[in-house]
Amino acid sequence: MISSQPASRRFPSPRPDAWLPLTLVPEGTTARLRASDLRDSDRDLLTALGLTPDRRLFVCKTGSLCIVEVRGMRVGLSEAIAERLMVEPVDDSSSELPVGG
Amino acid sequence: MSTAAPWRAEEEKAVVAASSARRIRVALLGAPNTGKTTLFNRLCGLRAKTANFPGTTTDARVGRFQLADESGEAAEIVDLPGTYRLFLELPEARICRAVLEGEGVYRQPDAAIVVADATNLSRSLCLVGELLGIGVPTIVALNMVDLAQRRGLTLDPVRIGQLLGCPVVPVVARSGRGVEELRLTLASALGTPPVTPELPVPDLADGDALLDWADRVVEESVGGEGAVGSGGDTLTERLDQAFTHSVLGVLLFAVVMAGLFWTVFALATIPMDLIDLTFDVMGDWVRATLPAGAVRDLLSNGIIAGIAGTVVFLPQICLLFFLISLLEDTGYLARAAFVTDRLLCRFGLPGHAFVPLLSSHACAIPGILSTSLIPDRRDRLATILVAPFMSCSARLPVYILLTSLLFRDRPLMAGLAFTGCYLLGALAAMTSALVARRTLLKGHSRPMVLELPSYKLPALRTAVLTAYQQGKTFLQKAGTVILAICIVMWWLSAYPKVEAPPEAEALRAEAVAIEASDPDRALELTAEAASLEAPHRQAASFAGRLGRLIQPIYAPLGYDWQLTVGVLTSFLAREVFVSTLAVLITGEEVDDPADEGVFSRVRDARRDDGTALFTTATAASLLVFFVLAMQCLPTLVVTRRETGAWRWAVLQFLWMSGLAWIFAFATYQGLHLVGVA
Repeated sequence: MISSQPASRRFPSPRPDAWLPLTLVPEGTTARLRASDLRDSDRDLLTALGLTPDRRLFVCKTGSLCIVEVRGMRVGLSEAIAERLMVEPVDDSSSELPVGG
Repeated sequence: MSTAAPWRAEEEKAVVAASSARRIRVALLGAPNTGKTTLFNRLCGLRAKTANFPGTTTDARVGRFQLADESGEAAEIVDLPGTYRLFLELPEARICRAVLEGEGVYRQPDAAIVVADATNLSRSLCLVGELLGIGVPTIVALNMVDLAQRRGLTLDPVRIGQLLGCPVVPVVARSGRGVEELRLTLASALGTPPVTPELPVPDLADGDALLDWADRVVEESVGGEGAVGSGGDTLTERLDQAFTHSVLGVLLFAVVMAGLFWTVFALATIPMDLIDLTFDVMGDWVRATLPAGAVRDLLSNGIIAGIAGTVVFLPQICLLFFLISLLEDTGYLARAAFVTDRLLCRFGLPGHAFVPLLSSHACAIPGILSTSLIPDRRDRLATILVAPFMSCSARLPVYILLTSLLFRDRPLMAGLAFTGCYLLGALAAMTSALVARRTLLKGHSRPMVLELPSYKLPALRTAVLTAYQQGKTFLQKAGTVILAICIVMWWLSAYPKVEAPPEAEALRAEAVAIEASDPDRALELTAEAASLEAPHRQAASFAGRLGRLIQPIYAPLGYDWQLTVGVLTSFLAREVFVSTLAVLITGEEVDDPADEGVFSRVRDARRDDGTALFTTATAASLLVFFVLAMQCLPTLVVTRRETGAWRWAVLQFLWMSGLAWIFAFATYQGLHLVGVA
């Protein structure tokens, strides 16, 4: 059986200061997914949608439904999942594409 | 993947039998919302069969199509569940792997067609990469190229094909553009040695490398504004602001759902009435044409009534699936699932369960069928198990009769009791879901992580074909069993035949004697005789005898043998309760609970010991029983069909009816304790 890389690594301890739960990131921010506190099956779901470690994402909306854009795909996440995802806001003035790898 | 369960063997063999001769076999794969089903329908039209994938409750559609032109070789195509990746431990990915590996009853496919979304190619390419990586001959159907072009993307299918090392065909599944070329390409690609790709697929174990590879393919073959980004879909962004808004989103959801169910109710009534009328006319014709006897009874009251009882569900089922398909195609249903998820996830149900639960207020059968929207098997099973708790339209006549008996001249109280019935049903459903998720179906619902597809106009053809397929499947899989059960129940209610009581005989003799001199009086006497004969026959029938036999079980709930027979016959369908009581008490086959004559005779009916048949405590206990009990054999048949096993239908029956008995008992005894008889 070929296994894929998990959607994100587990929470390290201590957690770096720059990391925030996705729910606390302002709308319109570009960030990188750094870690998650999810069960393996839930992380597989994220992997399927391209939400893998260090992947860049664009926060379109937060709240009870969180919408992020990753690799050109709009992904909806319930608040319960979003608050378990740690992201690090990045400078979106960089030359990289906003929601690509 | 495990091998097929024994109960499923015949069903699967039937699907596989279509390909007993060696025929080209193609697997159709793709991420959700890429237009996979639209392409399947475009290729196969009505030539598709539906069964379940081995050991799952997921529909497997197998169809046939001509490879090249009409004289060309036929190929068989299996529509696999939508998946973004193959090598993940998700149910849909496991099914795809099993079929590709030829496990169970499925023969290994000769090739795979991957439907890729041209407006966002990179999301489909990981799946393509995985297929190429394990050596499956693959063709990419680049769907929605028209939409991609409108969004300013420039696609080069030839270049994409060179990079991937497999044929890439641009198509518009909705209109059929490119589908002929896809057939030709598939025909010519089969048996052709693989081409060396310019960008070889990386090690599949390295998920990030695969994502980077997919992005590189897009960068080197797709140009234009937003080629790797969102494609600039500002309409979707604007609509999402409204549809996912915490207040406006809920309001819009309520409007959409109200519109959906109003349409189902309003439009389905016309064909349902026509079906009723047609079968009534047929029954009357049989009764008028054939001589009296067992054959006439079987035809008119058993077979014709049984077919009518099955076919009458069709308009609701077809309409509901037609509308759900349209809504799903627009992209709205993915947003609606989030709106309801916050409430339902507390009870272990996913947001997707909302449509099935709401549909069950019309009828649990289309409600259970629409659980196919729910991706996770356990979530789906939990929803199927609790859906019949929702108060369906068949309970309405019983609610009307019993609330009127309880609160005769107090319409406000009757209205509140009516509302209470709906709330009690919903509460029982939610609580039962919670219990199921903590015991048999341990675990919480699949978290809401969904792709939010772009909004687009729905495909009418897909909606029509979905409605047709669902209706056909219902008739084939459930209709035949429902018909058989109807015939058995008719036999139990109609046999053994007994002599009419002497009083009735005397009345009929008198009617014959005065027929010439006083025809009006003769008619009255005949009607009176009939009103004596019907309850006599009902009481002497097998169902009546069974009612007397099991009455002790219902005695603690306050029911005598007449009410027990009413409850027993209503296991065929709840609405039968009113007509059974009418027959037992009045001798007339009237099923309108609002009929004043019937109502007052039911209210004043007596038990064998001379006490009132309905007391406040009995009526309240019966009302609670009807809210909670599983009294619909057709629903149990559909539960079996959708879950793939009788054990779930039996569990549903025992749980609901057991709960109904306990709560009806508590109601009856509780009211007695506080002095309400």
